[in-house]
Amino acid sequence: MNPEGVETEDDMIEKARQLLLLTDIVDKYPLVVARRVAGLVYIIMAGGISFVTLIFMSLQDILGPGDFLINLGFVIFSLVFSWIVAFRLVIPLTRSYPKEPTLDEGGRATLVIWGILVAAIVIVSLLTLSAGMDNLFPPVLEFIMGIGFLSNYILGRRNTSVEFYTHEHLYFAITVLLSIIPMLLFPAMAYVIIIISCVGGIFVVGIYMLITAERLLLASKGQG
Amino acid sequence: MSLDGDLLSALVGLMEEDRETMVPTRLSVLVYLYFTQHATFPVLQKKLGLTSGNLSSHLRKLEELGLIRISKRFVDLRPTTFAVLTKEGAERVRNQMIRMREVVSKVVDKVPSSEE
Repeated sequence: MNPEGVETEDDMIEKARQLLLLTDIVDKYPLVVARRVAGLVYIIMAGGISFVTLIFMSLQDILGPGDFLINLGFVIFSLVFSWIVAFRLVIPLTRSYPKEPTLDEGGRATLVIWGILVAAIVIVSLLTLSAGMDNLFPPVLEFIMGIGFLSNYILGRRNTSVEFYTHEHLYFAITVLLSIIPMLLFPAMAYVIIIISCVGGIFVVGIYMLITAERLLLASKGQG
Repeated sequence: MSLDGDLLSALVGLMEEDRETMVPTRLSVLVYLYFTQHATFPVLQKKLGLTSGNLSSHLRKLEELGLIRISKRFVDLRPTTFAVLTKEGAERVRNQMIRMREVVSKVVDKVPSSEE
């Protein structure tokens, strides 16, 4: 083959590879959108929890501790209502894209695990608070949350071809689990530690997921 | 046959499989909307370098196929045409791209062996 022919051939190979890269990006793009939405969900969750904690504490100060159940009922109702509105705005973003069957299975397993963990939190809170073991509740809650984030990381890695939940979930789970130690050492600071590690952590992970969503496309490079 | 010819015949074969969307202009509209989800008529025209008549006819065809939805809204008191990719449209783009990857991969993978 003459040099000109070789050059054209190389040019065609390069164009074909670019075409393959485009097909890979199209294939992976629904995951990018899903990761962005997951980041937004985290931010909405942490934002909601922070906001109702603030409102609850203010109500307790204004109305007094006697209205504990009314205040709690009000903030829980507000939280659920605001989450329903926020999730209805955010979740449809993923619906326009074809679903990855593997992600679907992973998503279902994650939902089941979180369902069990939330039930465990409710049972533990009822048992510990009614038995007067208030000091036990924060570390157990932290342990359950740590297990939840660890399961997100493990299931995310197992069920997708790309790392949907990257190492940030592992680091977050480790931080949450390690925060049990200061909680046991300084029980008076337990709720402050929960707010910093869990709520702060969810905010950080949410923002990180949002801004690094497009990194999933880097996994496409060199394929084809 | 050379890579050029192989690639061309593979892509022509793909176009024959789906004459409705594997038309370069329609495919580029669909791929653009796949990443942006929606776009206004002037943006599509500018980004894809198409004349308004050409773009209109392709958008109408894509709407007939149920791959996009066209709506008119007022933006800054001006009527603006919006094209929105439907779920079926997104699915079609992804399936076509996966099919294209299979076909092009086969051609590219053949290159080292034919050179040897």
